[in-house]
Amino acid sequence: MRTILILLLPLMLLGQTGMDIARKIDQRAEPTDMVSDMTMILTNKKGQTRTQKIHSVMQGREKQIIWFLEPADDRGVAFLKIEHKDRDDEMRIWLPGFGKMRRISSSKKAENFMGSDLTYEDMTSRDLDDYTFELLREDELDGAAVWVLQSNPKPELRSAYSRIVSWVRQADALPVKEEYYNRSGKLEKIRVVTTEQLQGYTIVTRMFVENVLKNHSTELLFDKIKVDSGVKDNLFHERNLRRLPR
Amino acid sequence: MKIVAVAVAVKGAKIAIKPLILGLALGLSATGPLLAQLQLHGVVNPLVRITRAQRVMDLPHRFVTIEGRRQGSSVGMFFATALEYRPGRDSLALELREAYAEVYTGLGDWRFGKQINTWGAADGNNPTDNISPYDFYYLFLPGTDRKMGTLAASANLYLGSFNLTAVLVPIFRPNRIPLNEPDFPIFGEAPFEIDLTKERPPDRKLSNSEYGLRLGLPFSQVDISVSYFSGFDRLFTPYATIAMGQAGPSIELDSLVYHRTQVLGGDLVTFIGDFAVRTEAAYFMTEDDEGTSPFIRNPYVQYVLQLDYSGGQATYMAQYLGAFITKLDGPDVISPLGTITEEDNEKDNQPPKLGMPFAAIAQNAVMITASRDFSDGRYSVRGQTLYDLDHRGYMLGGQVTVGLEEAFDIELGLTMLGGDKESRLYAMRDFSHLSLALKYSF
Repeated sequence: MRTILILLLPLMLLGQTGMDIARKIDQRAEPTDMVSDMTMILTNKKGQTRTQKIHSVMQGREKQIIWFLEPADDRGVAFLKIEHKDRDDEMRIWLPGFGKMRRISSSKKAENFMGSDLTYEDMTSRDLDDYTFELLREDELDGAAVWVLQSNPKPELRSAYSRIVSWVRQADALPVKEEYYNRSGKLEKIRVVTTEQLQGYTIVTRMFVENVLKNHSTELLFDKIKVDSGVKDNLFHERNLRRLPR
Repeated sequence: MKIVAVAVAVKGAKIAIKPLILGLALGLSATGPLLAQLQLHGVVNPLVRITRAQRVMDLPHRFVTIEGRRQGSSVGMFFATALEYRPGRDSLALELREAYAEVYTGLGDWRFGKQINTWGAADGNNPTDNISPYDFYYLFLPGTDRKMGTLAASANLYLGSFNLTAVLVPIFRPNRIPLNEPDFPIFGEAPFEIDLTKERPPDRKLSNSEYGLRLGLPFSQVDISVSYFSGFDRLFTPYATIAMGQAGPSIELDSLVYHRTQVLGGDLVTFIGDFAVRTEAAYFMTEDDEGTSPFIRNPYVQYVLQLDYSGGQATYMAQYLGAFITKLDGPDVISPLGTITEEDNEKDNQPPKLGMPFAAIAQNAVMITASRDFSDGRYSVRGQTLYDLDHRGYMLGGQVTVGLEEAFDIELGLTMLGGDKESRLYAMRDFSHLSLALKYSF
């Protein structure tokens, strides 16, 4: 029996397409909502760091609202993102020092978010229709079996990247490492995540993004994580950007 | 050093701070549980400005600001105070800039108390932003820092995708303006002495309340807002008598009057590629019962067109500011001192009493700003210019900010004004200065 399985394995692998892996990622079990406190540490090429504290609430992958709590200069700045399938995503930012709500252009996806190495594009989920996928190989990363998947953005997406290579852990279909190649084909960023199990979900507790071209990094540490806590849909409204969470 | 009683606005609209602080303290003590989770933040910001004559500029500056916030699930409170220091008088003055309670409902937020409201889509120059007065001493600061709080009730409601803002201001408060300030001669020299005891603010009665409505309409590619404001001019109109004496004719001030004005406004935001387009305009109708006063600006318009871009760590913004009078219906004033024609009146004799504060300086101007952060915001460089297209006056400014520690910055700045002698910016050239500031945020 074991012999038969070993013989069939290459065939099974051959039968698995990049799109199949992408679907597994897309259909991975995720909490309905997630509330967390985040610490964002930016480190420049001189090794100098800057720390920001953030409170984040997400509903699925489509809706997110975050408030900046520290440093004092940024306190009260808040950001809302709502993704739509049939129209441009909504992104708004509240600037308390100006008393103004600002709409962010959906064409600004390549712009860095609050000085971090994450762009707005990195913070939005990948629509399967916007990419073509190639399964490059099977591999092993940190002792876990992974699929190495290449995502190629379609031209109409106007992505900042020419391709993204993901190491997708087979056990839970989670991309644990990703390499982002810019439009010139050069490796620009590497993203690595650390996970924990919480209420049956695989939850990212640390994300490290390094921009190898700029020698700059962003570390995100997630704390006080709550999942499936019944976050109401109406929280994701611009009126709540002005209301700093308790 | 002496601590003076606070007069935060020109006489007649003075807010008694001591009773306010006492009231706030009593209110806070009665709400002990609320205080337990009061979040306090502030900035200590010593500043020295050196004039062209190489002396310390004598203008007030907010040396310390403190904000407190307590927010529950359905109610909250907020206050902001500032300790203002004036080097020439070596004096400190405490100002309660804002102190209000908020109620959060499913429809939106309600706010009651002393508050600053800001309207408009453009950056810094907003013809539709007339609810809260400006503090002209802080004209070149960004955002709410250059505005003053007023006692008001406001609602910011969301009706479907529409956003309705309504504000009621029962007690009038004018702009705080620099008078007889050699280091900041923004309004130039009047042909007569401005005696503030002759100020005639609106009577404190319900019918003299100010109110405004703003409706925001977001669409897929564009955000549009329309607004209406009914209130009083934020700058007084001087009324004077021409007297004939043995030494010849002279002008004697009778009164400084704030006229009721209605403002219809609109703004629009859209995106063209990576650029944001923000445009805003307002139509001002000043009450003039007989329609003949040469001292009242006839219906006038202010508008701004802004193009901005932000990418990476840089932000660039260009604005065109304009203002004009739509109709001239008053007669020429013929006096022993000469004839003041409507054309004179239209030009410069009467600065706009509402709307964009920079319209008091130039009514046909271009403003350009550029800023860039380096090393995660540890260093930043900012430059700005204002150019008066009519009179070829200019203001140039630049700042370099260096973050010494996470919460500690040092800022070096240079501001220069000049141009043709006809321009208001040339008349303000004594405001040119070099500045050095420290900023500690906590």
